Amino acid sequence: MRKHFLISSLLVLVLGLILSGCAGNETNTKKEKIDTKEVQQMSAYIGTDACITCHSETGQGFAMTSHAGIFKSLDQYNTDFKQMVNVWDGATKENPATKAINLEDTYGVMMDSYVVGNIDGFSQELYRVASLEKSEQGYELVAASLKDYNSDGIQDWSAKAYSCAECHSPGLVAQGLGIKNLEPGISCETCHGPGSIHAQTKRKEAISINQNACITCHTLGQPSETEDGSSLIAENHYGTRNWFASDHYTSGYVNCLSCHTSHEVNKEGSMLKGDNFTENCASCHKDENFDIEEIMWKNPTDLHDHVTRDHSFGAIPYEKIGDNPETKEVEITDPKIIKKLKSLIK
Amino acid sequence: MTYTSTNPLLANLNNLYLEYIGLIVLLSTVGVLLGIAGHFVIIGPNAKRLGKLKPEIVRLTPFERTAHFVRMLSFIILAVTGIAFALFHVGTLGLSYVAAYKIHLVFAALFTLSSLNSIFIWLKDSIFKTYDRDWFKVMGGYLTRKEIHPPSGRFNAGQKAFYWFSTFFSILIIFSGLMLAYPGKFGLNSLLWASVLHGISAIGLIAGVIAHAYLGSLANPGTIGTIIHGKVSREWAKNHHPQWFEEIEQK
Ligand code: HEC
Ligand code: HEC
Ligand code: HEC
Ligand code: HEC
Ligand code: HEC
Ligand code: HEC
Ligand code: HEM
Repeated sequence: MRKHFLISSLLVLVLGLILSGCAGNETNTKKEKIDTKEVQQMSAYIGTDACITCHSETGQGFAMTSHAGIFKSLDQYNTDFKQMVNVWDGATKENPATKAINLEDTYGVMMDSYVVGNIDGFSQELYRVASLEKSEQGYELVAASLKDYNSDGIQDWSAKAYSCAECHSPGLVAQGLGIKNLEPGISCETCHGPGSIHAQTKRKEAISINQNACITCHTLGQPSETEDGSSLIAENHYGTRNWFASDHYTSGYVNCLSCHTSHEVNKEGSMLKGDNFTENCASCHKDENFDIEEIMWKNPTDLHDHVTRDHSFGAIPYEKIGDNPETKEVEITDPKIIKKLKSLIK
Repeated sequence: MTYTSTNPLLANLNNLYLEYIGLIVLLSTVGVLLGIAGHFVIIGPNAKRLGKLKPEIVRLTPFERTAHFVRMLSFIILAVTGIAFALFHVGTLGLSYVAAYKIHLVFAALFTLSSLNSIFIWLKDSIFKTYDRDWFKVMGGYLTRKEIHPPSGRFNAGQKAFYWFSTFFSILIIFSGLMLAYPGKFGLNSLLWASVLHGISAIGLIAGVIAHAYLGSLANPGTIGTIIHGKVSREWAKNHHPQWFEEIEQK
């Protein structure tokens, strides 16, 4: 009996020494430079649910952002998706295939409007199989587009190629290990990269925090040139309009995350630092009083509201660009502005 | 200073591990349970009559029982929280990650103490003897409905095998766990090894312990008392552990 007590008290001592020795300078991480990019190439995706087991606060913040809602699952609508429809491959001109599908078997809904799915035997990977239309009762299912394929006088459902995945449902087109764990829409790993090794080792060097993550979807917005080269056109999806022309960008001191948050919303529900526009600017420009409609103008004729507010912060004012308010796009016809933009784009 | 990346071989092994961890956990728990149910139905308990007799000889000292009890309790809690970590489902337990992690660490310390203790106190009884060969020849009689009692010391050959199995995996799981608790102290590759080995030893132990618990309870009536009050009946000892019985009779 006494021997046993001796042994166990010795063990307690040893264990205590090990634990205290380790805890002593815990903040001193091992001196080791880790190549984050290479480590992530060998990591697998584990999915948002896995990340938020440890980062629950970030998860709660992220869920409030509009990023979390760009692609929703079918069960978030009270629409009945359980219906068989015969769809035609609208992405090919010659001999389009046709197939009866159950709309319940689709991946989900993009921006509350496109019902996106994969159809076996069709020419493309992803299709906009149907659309949701907002009605008084909620959302109603309609065809993505209609066309009489078999000339029987009845309009058939045409499934259209879905080319918006890269930004509107990155989880559907991600490549690599563990993609089955990804949600179709934006997930933690869309911006941070695959995180299995980070989650297993808790090493921060095994996950990236890429300040440029935003630009992959909120593109720098290069306007296209008209055929005769005389003017530029900014189409609907014009990205972060004129950001590269702003003093903020050229100063090199300010980036998207100087003003925006990555996974938090303010009182107004937008991903902006500060409770509103005024407060946001005031954090750096104490004495100036900006008018948002003027300095961050919107295309007044944009039908779909797809275009981000101007981010040139005064470098390219709306009145100066020579837009034709009659047309949907924003035409840039002023030679001085064109020269400025062209020299900046290169 | 050169940059560290993950060893590709290790990374591949790790990815396989991640891919199948859910399946492996399922097989090693449900699979073993099904095996046990099969054994119980087809072969049934060994020497039922020994369960009804009055326990009179001390088999396990209070010290042995305490060590075993702490090891058993902490292991169950570690297994539940550990599986939740591995499957990234801590929320299912109704706990935050931090709470579950703290619980895991506290019981890991208890498991370490009680395991090292058990390893020490049972070492002498777990060294294989020549007569253990005869036990293995008939697999302790566990695979037949006939009542056979092959030779056995304080622990039979199967228990000795489990002693070494649990010693090996306990030490492995303790060391890898200690590393994972201090990620800042180790290199990325070492941590990844630790993560994989921690998981594999956990799975080995869980499967082994479920089988062990069955053998110490339902499969061998009269045995479970040893870890509760510590006593067994004379008949039990004479049948299950004849060599040990002779030894204590001589004292
Ligand atoms: C097992 C718990 C755990 C899981 C799961 C986890 N993390 Fe972490 N994460 C941590 C810890 C701990 C730190 C702090 C590390 C440090 O500061 O040394 C951290 C830090 C980070 C950081 C900051 C890195 C830096 O350079 O400062 C990011 C970004 C991050 N995690 C993203 C993720 C993502 C994305 C996922 C899902 C793929 C994830 N984490 C899953 C524990 C976890
Ligand atoms: C839209 C891209 C994006 C998404 C989606 C995203 N993050 Fe981040 N995250 C960032 C950026 C950029 C940073 C750099 C810090 C900053 O300036 O906000 C960051 C920082 C972090 C950090 C470091 C500490 C902090 O909060 O600054 C953690 C931890 C983290 N992210 C976890 C997560 C988790 C968990 C998710 C999923 C729920 C997630 N991130 C989703 C872009 C993103
Ligand atoms: C995978 C593509 C993608 C990435 C990466 C991305 N975004 Fe977005 N973002 C979107 C889409 C799509 C919307 C439109 C959401 C809507 O209107 O419902 C959006 C909307 C926004 C909005 C307007 C809505 C709001 O809540 O204020 C802001 C601001 C924004 N993103 C900022 C960022 C920042 C900052 C980053 C980098 C940390 C980033 N985004 C990275 C796709 C992306
Ligand atoms: C100097 C501050 C600042 C910087 C830098 C900045 N933004 Fe903004 N951004 C704003 C403000 C202010 C709004 C208006 C927000 C609101 O009304 O809630 C806005 C709005 C947006 C919106 C919402 C669209 C809209 O029309 O309201 C998106 C998307 C966006 N910004 C993306 C970006 C991206 C991507 C970058 C980096 C390339 C960036 N921003 C850099 C201040 C900034
Ligand atoms: C993170 C700090 C920061 C924030 C927040 C910020 N700015 Fe700036 N701003 C700068 C810097 C730096 C410059 C460049 C100054 C220079 O080059 O002289 C600048 C330049 C400008 C300019 C160019 C003319 C000038 O005054 O120099 C305007 C206009 C401007 N900011 C508007 C805004 C508006 C509107 C907001 C709010 C949406 C805002 N800024 C938010 C840092 C900031
Ligand atoms: C290069 C990335 C990218 C691609 C590709 C893309 N989008 Fe977007 N889209 C965005 C971003 C970023 C926003 C958010 C802009 C903002 O809020 O200012 C957005 C916004 C939208 C909005 C408006 C949301 C709102 O609340 O105002 C719609 C609708 C939309 N996109 C439809 C589409 C469709 C349809 C396609 C495919 C034909 C598509 N997008 C392709 C990046 C993209
Ligand atoms: C989960 C519930 C458990 C039960 C019901 C149980 C039951 C028992 C019983 C009845 C004995 C005594 C056998 C005898 O007297 O012959 C015993 C011994 C032992 N137990 Fe357990 N035990 C459990 C968990 C564990 C755990 C988690 C470990 C270690 C990881 C462990 C390791 C041992 C060892 C090494 C022995 C001695 C050798 C042997 O009997 O196999 N036990 N156990």
